[in-house]
Amino acid sequence: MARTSETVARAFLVLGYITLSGLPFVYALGRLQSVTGQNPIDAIVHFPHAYGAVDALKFTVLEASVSAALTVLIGLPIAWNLGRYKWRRASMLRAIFSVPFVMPAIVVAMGFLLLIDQQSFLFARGLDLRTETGFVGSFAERTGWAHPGHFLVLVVAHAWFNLSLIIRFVEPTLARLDPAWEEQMSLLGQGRTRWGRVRHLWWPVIGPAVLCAASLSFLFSFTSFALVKWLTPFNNTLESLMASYGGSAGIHDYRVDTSEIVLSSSIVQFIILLGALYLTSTLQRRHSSRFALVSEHMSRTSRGPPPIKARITVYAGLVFAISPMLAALSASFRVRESTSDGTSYGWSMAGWSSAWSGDLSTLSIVDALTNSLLFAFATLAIALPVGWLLASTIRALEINDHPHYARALDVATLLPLAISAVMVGLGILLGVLKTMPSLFQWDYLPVVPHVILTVPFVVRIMLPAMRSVEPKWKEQAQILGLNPMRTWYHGYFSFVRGPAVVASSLTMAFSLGEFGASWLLVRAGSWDTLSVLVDTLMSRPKFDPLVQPTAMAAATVLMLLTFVLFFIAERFRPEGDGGGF
Amino acid sequence: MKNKVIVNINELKKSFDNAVIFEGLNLEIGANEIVAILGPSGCGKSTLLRCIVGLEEFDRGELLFAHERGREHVGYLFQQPILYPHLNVEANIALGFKKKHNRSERRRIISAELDSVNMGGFGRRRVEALSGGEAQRVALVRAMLGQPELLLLDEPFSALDLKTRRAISIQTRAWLKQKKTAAIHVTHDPEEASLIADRVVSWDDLVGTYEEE
Repeated sequence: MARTSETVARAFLVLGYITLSGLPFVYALGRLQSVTGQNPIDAIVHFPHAYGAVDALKFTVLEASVSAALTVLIGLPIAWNLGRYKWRRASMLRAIFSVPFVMPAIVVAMGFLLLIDQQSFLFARGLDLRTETGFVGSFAERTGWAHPGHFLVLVVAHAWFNLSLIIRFVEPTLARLDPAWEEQMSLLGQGRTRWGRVRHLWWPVIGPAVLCAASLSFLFSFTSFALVKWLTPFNNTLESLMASYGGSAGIHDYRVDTSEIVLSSSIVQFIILLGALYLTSTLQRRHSSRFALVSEHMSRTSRGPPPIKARITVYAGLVFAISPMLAALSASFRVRESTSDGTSYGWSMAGWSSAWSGDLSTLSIVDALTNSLLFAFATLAIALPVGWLLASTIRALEINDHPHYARALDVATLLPLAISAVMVGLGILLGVLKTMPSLFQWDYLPVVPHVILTVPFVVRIMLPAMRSVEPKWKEQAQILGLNPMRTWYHGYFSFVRGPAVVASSLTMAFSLGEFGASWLLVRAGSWDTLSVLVDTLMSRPKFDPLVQPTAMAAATVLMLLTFVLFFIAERFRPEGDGGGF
Repeated sequence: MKNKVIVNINELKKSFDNAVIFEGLNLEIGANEIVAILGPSGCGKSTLLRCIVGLEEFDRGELLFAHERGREHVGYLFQQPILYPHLNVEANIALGFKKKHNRSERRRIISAELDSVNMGGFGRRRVEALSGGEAQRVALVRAMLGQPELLLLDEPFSALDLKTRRAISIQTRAWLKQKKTAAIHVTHDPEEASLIADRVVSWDDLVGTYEEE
């Protein structure tokens, strides 16, 4: 009886979650269909005729592919060297390389803008990527490629953002692979050459992880919004195209062309993202733990301290990883001063004072921070239990010998990743708000997309932890005669407590930094979050010298909050955790 | 009559972080000779084998191989058989080939070798499905595929049960003799040493030679 009611409760939860995450999107599609009179097939056929859609698709595929390749090119040598040698403070190095992934995209965009502005180190060395003069300008002229500098910055920023993916996927396997495997291969006929060892050992061991990270990197670059909005303002991706036209879409007899653009772009993007997700999921299954893993300490000790080439690679990677963040921090203290001799820059706290008082924005930094934290806690309060219950349902299906249902639910929980942040925002804007306008009055509206977007991460973190809990712990607790509560605590909860803290910290970090959906929704309402505040401030003309320092002060607060949450997560991350978020 | 010497170890010394593992170690191995080195766990037997095959550098002394590129003619069998789980039995064994063979030739050779260790028909099996003894025999076949002059056996049967250990020791000896391959077998089990070896050397005697001199 108890079991039946548990099954019914789980079924309701699953249906509720799928409805919550899918319904806004379905509603939005329905609305766009009724406005345009096109069904999904018509929309795909119409796609080449939608204004700007083909160019946006070409640009999106190009930037996402180059970003994924660059992520591997930069990240693999770092992961390789980080994983193979005995580094002092290896966990701290790993944490620093992982920070970019949780850093709010708007902060990253600001950081990279600062790295290429006219006061930057790169500009001083003759590399002008922002206004594209000098070498970059003549390259653009010779090739006829408009704005190669902006494109380069975008793909490098994406590589920076996704660096942790490849390190998280590849490095733990390398760090814990039994050194005897490599030794054995080097003693066999086919493993005597470097190419032989790559072919027969390294590629089978880390290849699926590399491809999986590349495929996720493609996916995240494909749906990147804040970086595209700020770093390549002359080009649209499908995501930014939908965001630009989303405001006027879905209204009967008004700008039907924008509804057509949003409808066909969203369907094409959805199909491509589904394909990328399927590929990622397949590769993730192949990246299994069949390899002989030993303790990280043993593996690292056997190879000794890093040689000079490894040190150069990893330390150069560190400089790359922290540069945009340091640029944002320092710019919050740097204020432009105009004198009769021209323009100079001085150090002051004026930007912070302005951010605190809210003189340059509708909200002060404190109010925006309060909003962000309220949304983050509310998101956590819903996403963690929902994600936990979904993960435990998948595990229960696996244990009860229903692998196909388990797999189907596993994929279903990933679906919000295929419905990108902007699509989720549009879903709520077009599908829900235009059907139920009274929801505009609801203070916690941005929590809805945040929950939809963070539940997949909770599931992805909790599920491997739940899979690793062996029944023997619970059985032992029962044999010892512990009461049900203590049995649950010692036989189950104590093993998933760490991952639950990781999931909580990352859920809050993602909610704090979420930009795409918040931007779409708060544009229509008035719930400025910190990330939206940064965007609003930076969108102002820069006549006032305090605009940029104020925006950077807000970005720095967001960055510091993310840092704190991330390092809490790192403290609770189990040894050898790889492939997760 | 003494066989031709294929490896000559003179006054070898190895230490880790100032702790001397062995010093003044001398040993000669003749062609087709099987020598067992008997010593307690942790005394440095495996380190000696790792020095011979080149997985560890030694501090002092000489390692002279009869063959010009001696180390390329040395095979190694680890304590735990290292079979790669992404490959089946046949593909794991094929890693041992030094020369290129076409697929049918490769299959024929592997099949014949598997037959010779009573594992005919195991080629397509997943390595995770093998028992400890079977896995070690697969590793042995693979190590021998490169036709080494000298095979180093680093307590490869220590994890097996007594009955299997005896059987596989006898079978390995017969196989080494049939292939005319010399071997250094390190173990802490006197029975295993006597079953497999032509000559049993105690570790204490091996490192004591220097001290006596």
